[in-house]
Amino acid sequence: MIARVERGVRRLLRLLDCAVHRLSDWRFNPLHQSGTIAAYLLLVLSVTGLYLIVFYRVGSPSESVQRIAADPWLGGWMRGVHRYATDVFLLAAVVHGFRVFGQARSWGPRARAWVTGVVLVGVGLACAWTGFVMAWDTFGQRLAIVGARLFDVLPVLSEPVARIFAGDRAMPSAFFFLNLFVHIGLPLLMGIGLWLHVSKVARPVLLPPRRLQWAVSAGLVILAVVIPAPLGPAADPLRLPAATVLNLSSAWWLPLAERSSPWLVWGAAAMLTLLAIAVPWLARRSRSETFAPSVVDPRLCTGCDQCTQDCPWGAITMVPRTDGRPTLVALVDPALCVSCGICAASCAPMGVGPEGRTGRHQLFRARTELLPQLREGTVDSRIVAVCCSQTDAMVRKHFGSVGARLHEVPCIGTLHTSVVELLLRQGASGVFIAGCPPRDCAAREGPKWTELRLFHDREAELQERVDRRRVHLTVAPAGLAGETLAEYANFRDAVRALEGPEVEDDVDIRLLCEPLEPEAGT
Amino acid sequence: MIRRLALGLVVALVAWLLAASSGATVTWHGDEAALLRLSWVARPERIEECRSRTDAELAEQPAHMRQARECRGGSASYRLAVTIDGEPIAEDVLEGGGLRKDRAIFVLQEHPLQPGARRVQIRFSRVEPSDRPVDSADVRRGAVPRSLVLDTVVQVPAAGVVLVSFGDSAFILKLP
Ligand code: HEM
Ligand code: SF4
Ligand code: SF4
Repeated sequence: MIARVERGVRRLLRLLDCAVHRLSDWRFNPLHQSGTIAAYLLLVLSVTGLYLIVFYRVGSPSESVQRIAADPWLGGWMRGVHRYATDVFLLAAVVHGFRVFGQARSWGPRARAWVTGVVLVGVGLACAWTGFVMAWDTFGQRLAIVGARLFDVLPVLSEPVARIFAGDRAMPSAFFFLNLFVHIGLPLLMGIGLWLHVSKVARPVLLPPRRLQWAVSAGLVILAVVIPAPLGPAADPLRLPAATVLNLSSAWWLPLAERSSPWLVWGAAAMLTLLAIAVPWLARRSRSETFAPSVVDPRLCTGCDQCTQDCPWGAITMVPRTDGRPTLVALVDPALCVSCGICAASCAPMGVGPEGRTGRHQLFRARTELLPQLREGTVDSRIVAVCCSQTDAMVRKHFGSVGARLHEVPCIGTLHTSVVELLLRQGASGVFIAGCPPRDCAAREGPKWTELRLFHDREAELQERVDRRRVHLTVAPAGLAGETLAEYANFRDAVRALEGPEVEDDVDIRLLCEPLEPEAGT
Repeated sequence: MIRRLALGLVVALVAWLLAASSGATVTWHGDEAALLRLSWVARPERIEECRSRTDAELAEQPAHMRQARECRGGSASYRLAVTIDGEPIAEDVLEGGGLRKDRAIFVLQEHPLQPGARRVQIRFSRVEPSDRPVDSADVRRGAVPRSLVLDTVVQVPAAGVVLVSFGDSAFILKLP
């Protein structure tokens, strides 16, 4: 059931991706960068918030905000940027949440990231709430009254908080002081939340590329100047404005909440939160086969430390050996391992990886499934197109129709370079590798490590003896099947122009250690 | 070129949608809506049942605890009745806050009103216990009067709040 929902979300996001890629450069697709954009906007909100706080007065909240809004120089657009950044932040966080959900990245060791993500959105909404109350216009007043009513049904205070807003006495500035305190305190909590959110991933990328940062900032400033952020008339407890501003991104629930009983609102909020927090449990899979954690074969491990450097989840540590050999040995913590398989390609002696996906298993599969097809045929039909199974299905379908041998892998970052070498030395005329956009890689660092391993000597590197002209690495973004296939056609033409590869009958890929042949059938 | 133009248009559209959703306008009610709001704090009276101790009872007590009268009791509850143009709108019995109900009574009620001249009647009166002993006393300084009544015709403004609060032993009426 949940897998079907995941597929639905993935399909929807793919449609959006396709639209973005047709219009702009996929490298800056904001949908791929939604998490980092949300994190960047936290910075923007902090900077603009610091400016606004200087001019805010708890003793005269609405007058001070009206004054800021009327300032044609900095104040007006600083407020606008602060306001619109809140909207984009919430939107980006939700898109990012849906994205990781659609990619089935919400459970297992990722549960902490998921749950803290849900909390971050909740705290963000609460922070927006207090921000609108600070402005104390008719919309802020409505939010404050609803909040007070919700609070008043809880058996906390015997005096209803909502009486503050009744109008029989002046609004106490202590209320605005407390509100301001919460508005500043919540972002600090979000900072801690964000740290927890990414605490389990290795080398978290927190900011989008520079160009995207500039684009987001400039977009917000232009929007704030062209369409100044709306501000309603100052709140008056004895007036009932028929209409007010309503910020949809953070207060879409307000009309519903005003018409429902506070307990119903609490119930609905609790249900929604519980459902969101329960996703890691609802979406979890059995940790065997596809999701089996990685294991180390201590007989093969030379203690080189490479897998610990490549694992995107910091799931591998080096520990002392028990067999008397002088090196350390790698050890995978299954509670941290997300079974991405990246480590399999980092290990030259092929001693680590999830069961069935280690370098040795990959070689076995290449030998039994691919090599027999590469013995004969034209140059074209002996090009192997290695494709990540998460890339656009259209691209994968088309590789068959243009005569290439499709070889699907769970992520190109799991492809051991020895497989590329084996293929090229035993009949393949070329290896064309197509992966996901780097910021959309479900294994986080697949395309990055692959490029370094193929072309920049990162362990386990593609051996120098392999002709690099016969290896091509590319990105296959959603919706750009035509471009990917055109790139493939160029590569094919280049390979055609080369002299046919010499087929070596007995290739010794036993590079560093004795490989252990996997049992037949695995 | 066309791609750039399309991108520009889409970005402009998304930005406009963002601004529109950020500052959407929502209509909560018609222009004519008005409200009667009751908001006050009242300390309830304490109703005590007292009796004089007998000499024998007094003799049993240590010297410093020999009080001639012994009182037990609780805080009074109050009936709040609201009538608009002769039609009863609400009637509630309100008790003091806190576990022992001896804290202040907090009143906060809102009732829709039609603009125009409206006769508003509010009665806030103590609920008399039916089995009240003759030998009893009501004590509490600063407690709300035993009965408060407001009976007046108010010019209710459109989209305004008629606020009724309480101070100096009487109801206070406030209009926008
Ligand atoms: C509220 C603001 C949020 C910010 C600033 C944020 C930011 C980030 C960042 C920077 C990463 C690490 C990306 C990387 O280096 O690969 C990340 C990962 C993650 N986020 Fe968020 N996030 C937010 C909200 C959410 C929400 C709402 C959810 C889901 C409910 C969520 C779920 C996740 C998950 C599951 C991961 C780990 C994904 C993986 O690497 O496999 N996040 N987030
Ligand atoms: S990469 Fe392989 S050899 Fe190196 S530490 Fe990891 S398991 Fe051992
Ligand atoms: S499969 Fe390997 S690289 Fe991936 S999380 Fe597990 S140990 Fe790390």
